[in-house]
Amino acid sequence: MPLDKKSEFIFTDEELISRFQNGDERAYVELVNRYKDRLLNFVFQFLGDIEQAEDVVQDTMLRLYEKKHYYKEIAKFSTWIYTIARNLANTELRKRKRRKTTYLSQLSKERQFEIPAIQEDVDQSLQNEFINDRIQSAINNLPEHFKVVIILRDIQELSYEEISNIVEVPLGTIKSRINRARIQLQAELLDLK
Amino acid sequence: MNRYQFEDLISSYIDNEITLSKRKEFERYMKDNPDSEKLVSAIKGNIVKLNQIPRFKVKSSFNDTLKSKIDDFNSNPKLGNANNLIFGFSPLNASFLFGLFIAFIFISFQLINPNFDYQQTSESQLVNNGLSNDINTSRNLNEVIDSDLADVKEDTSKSEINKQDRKDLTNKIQFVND
Repeated sequence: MPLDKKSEFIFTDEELISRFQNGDERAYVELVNRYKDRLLNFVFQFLGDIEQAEDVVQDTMLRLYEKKHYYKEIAKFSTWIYTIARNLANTELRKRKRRKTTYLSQLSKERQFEIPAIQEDVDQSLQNEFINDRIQSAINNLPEHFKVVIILRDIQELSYEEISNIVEVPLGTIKSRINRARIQLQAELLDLK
Repeated sequence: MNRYQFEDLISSYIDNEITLSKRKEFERYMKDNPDSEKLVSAIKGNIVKLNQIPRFKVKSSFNDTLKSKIDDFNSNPKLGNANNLIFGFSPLNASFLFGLFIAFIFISFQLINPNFDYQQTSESQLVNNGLSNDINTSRNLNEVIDSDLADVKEDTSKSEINKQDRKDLTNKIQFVND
């Protein structure tokens, strides 16, 4: 039975990767479309540079294409692909440290943002930008093991189990770590109301 | 409930993963300690702000760039085929593990049979090979036996002569008492 465009959306991630392993490249395209933006925002939190983050996401998708048979249905597909993205982001960070260069975030004209439907006034938008910068700075000031879990839980909105599998730490430890990370983040943002 | 226990339960309370009895205890503590209620409220606000961080989107050319990389991968035979897996391992890793396995078997055999003499084994093999070569020569087995028997007879006759000599000698030799 052919896989028409409408029916692609009803498959789970695990079903799509299984189809891709059996040779259906349309399943791969669907997986790329589902995860490219999510992974971009995830990797950006680590690298701080949007262009580099997109390169890492490209490498992640290419790795998914090359190593599709490495995925076994022991864990969720999201766990697997987030782990690949995180490892590639860490590799890039290590390279950056060796090069000792600083990258500035650049906004490309081609890039799109998700814009709210209601147009805010200028003061409000400036205030929101300030708040977002403060939050970003507070996240970057967290210890690495707190930063990862906060990003995965409160920004990527993954479940505790998925986070536990990605970070390779027991579930109880993850819950405790997220709790401590939230308290510490609040300490960083005391001046923000 | 003390402050430490309260802080340990903040996330569980916010994520609604707390038992009813613990929830009541938690809320009672918040009522008795206004600063703790402010802390919980602030953390909830932070989570909302984190959810509202602007989300980036990939460039419109993302899929095209990815496709060109995939085409490069497919056209380059050196990159290999991901289907060539042996029990989940790449061929190189599988051959390395197989070598380790053979080395392990060999070392275990050495530890179990330390008295095993490889040199003796090789020598006995050489002897066996020599014997088989002798049999395969033009002399037949009967000739071999006959010649051996002749040798034995000769030796026996020599030993008899020696015995007679000994008898003669005994008549000649006299033991002298001290």
